[in-house]
Amino acid sequence: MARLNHLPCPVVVTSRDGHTLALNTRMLELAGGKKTRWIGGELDALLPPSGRIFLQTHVWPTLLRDGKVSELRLQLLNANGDQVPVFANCQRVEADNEESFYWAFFVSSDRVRFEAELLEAKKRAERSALELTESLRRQREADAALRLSATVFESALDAIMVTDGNSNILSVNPAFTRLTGHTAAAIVGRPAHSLWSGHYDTTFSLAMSSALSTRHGWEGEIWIDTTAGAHILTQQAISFVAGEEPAGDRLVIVLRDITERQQRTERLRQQALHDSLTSLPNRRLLLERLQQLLAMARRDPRRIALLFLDLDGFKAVNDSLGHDAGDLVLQEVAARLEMLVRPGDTVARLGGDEFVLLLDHAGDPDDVAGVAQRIIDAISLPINGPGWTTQIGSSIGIALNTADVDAQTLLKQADTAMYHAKMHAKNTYDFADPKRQSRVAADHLPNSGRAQA
Amino acid sequence: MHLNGAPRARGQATIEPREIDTGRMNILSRNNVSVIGDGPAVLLYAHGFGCNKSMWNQITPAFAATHRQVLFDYVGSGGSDPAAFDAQRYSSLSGYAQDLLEVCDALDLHSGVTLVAHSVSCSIGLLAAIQRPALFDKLVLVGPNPCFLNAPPDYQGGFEREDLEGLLNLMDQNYMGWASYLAPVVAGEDGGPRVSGDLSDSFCSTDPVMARVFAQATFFSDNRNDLPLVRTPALILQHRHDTLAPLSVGTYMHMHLAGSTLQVLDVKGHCAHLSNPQRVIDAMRAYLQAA
Repeated sequence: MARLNHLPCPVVVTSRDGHTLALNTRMLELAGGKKTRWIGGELDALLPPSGRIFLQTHVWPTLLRDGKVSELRLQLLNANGDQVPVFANCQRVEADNEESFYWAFFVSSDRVRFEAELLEAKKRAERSALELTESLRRQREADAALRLSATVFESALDAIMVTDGNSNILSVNPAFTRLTGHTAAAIVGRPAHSLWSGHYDTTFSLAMSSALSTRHGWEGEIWIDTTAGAHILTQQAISFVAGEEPAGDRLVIVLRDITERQQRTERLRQQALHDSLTSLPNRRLLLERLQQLLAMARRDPRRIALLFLDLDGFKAVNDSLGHDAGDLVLQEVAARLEMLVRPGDTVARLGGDEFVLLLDHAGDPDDVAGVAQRIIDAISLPINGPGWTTQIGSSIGIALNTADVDAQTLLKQADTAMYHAKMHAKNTYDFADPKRQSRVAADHLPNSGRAQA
Repeated sequence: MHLNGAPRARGQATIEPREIDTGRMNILSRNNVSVIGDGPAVLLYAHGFGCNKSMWNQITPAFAATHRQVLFDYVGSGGSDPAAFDAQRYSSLSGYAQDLLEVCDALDLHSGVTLVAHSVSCSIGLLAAIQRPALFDKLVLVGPNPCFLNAPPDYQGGFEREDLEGLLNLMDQNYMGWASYLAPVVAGEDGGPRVSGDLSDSFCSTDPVMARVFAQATFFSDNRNDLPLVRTPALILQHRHDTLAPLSVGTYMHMHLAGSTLQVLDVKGHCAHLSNPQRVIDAMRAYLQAA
């Protein structure tokens, strides 16, 4: 048995019923005590209780059946009573009609520690795998979102252009091509502001650089030219999208064609400021323009003349020939008045048979009186309608601007002057007298329904 | 998991005899039953925890001429059908007793059976004998222990709870490498590898999860109160030095089991039928002939 001591691991030899026949020095070093303490005892004594059960229920049955077991994990008790993890191999040996079982143990503290570390690593790997799965799931969601974004981009009704942080075009969608005529292939890589010529490109360039520098959005209306030569008004929303680095910054520009809307709005505005019968500016527009001219005159002195015209004999036309004829007369008067003024002057219809002419740079009062006389002459010419001819007259009151007069006051002065002219004689004009104005105003203004011609 | 409880195909349900045959075949296959010889008297062998029916291979030749010998594996052990495993049923010893009785039914055994049981199977056999007294003539109990846990002050089963927890850990470590075989089997997938074949070279148990269930059923059971209910004569074969079933436990068994005979074999260890089969054979023969 001395040869056993050369073996580098603990070795025990037992009988088939677990009787300890021999053990080597390594085993003694591990278990402690003297050899005599162990010889004749049971192998069980070297194991903790749990190991004994395992030995009896698993190891011995297999060993007795098969003659060997290998790489079992067991614990041995050391001299201090601590459990030492070991791998156990056992082999039945028959020699000289004697049967014995050689047990070799490999202390596996290190290996068990490694296994514990491996187990921990495995758990970490499992957690990582979970995180990876989670990350993949998020990636898939992000991909799906990206695909959705791409679909939205491709199928949006609004035109969309994306530029980098230097305003160079990165992509445009099909709606953009439909709107502007620019294909992606032709314009990707070009500076966005180069697309549209004319003075509006300045607005666009400013809007883009403002969005980039403030990192905020911008919204507004910009006229653009399409490749087909059309001039269209677009509503544009420029959004700033911050990148992870400055080079990754993006501008997303959404354009919507609002030309039609603009035209509709313009028509409504036109209707609000014009007389529907004659298409002449109405009182509101007249006052706007008058205020504008008066404001300009305060900065840059010039003569402004307001001619208030009221037809004479119009009611008789209406009564004898009917309203259609009356309308025709009013339209004819409007046309004759427009022919008599310069392009920058305004002819307005206040309603009924009242018209107002607004003359900028009106010259001397004599010049203005000349204009008034020409108007009276022109209107007094016969007016022909379908199956009828008629003749009407007109009275004109003239008011000239003074230093601080406002639009309403000047209009009232002209109105009052017209009234005096009409009182005096038909087909005459009269200049407003500011002193008389106050008197007349006191007499007549409350009765705004004043005498019809 | 428990295929036996699953409804069978409707086509078979209309023909009663075949239905019964199918059921029997299922049990015989499920429990890996083998029958040796054709004597009038029957010896039914029940293996212990960690073992399988091959543990009786050194005993059976001695009775080949005189007895019809029936061997089987509990579900979860040896060559049993892993798909039949049901953690609920096999978490208590009565589930294993059910296996034993179902094997007898499948073989049309209704009386005259002598049960030869080892270790935990002794408790299982006692449960079966209480449930079906007419079935059993005699019991041969090798290394019985009705309760492995110490129950101070009156009873020393041999172990503390933490020792048994340690055993489960040791089993986990030793079964560690086999866990990969388990998943498809437990999942009950068709065509999954049969674990038993792969493990026969290592241990006699089938797989780690089933062995763990069997271990808990074995070592945490307390069948001491069942002993007085047994009416079947029993031979207690007590090992002289047995860690798992100390002499005091054999004595306790003898005291509480009416009509029992206690015979102490001069054997160390827990498996006399393996380590000293001739002594077991001699004792059995003497006991069987005495009656």
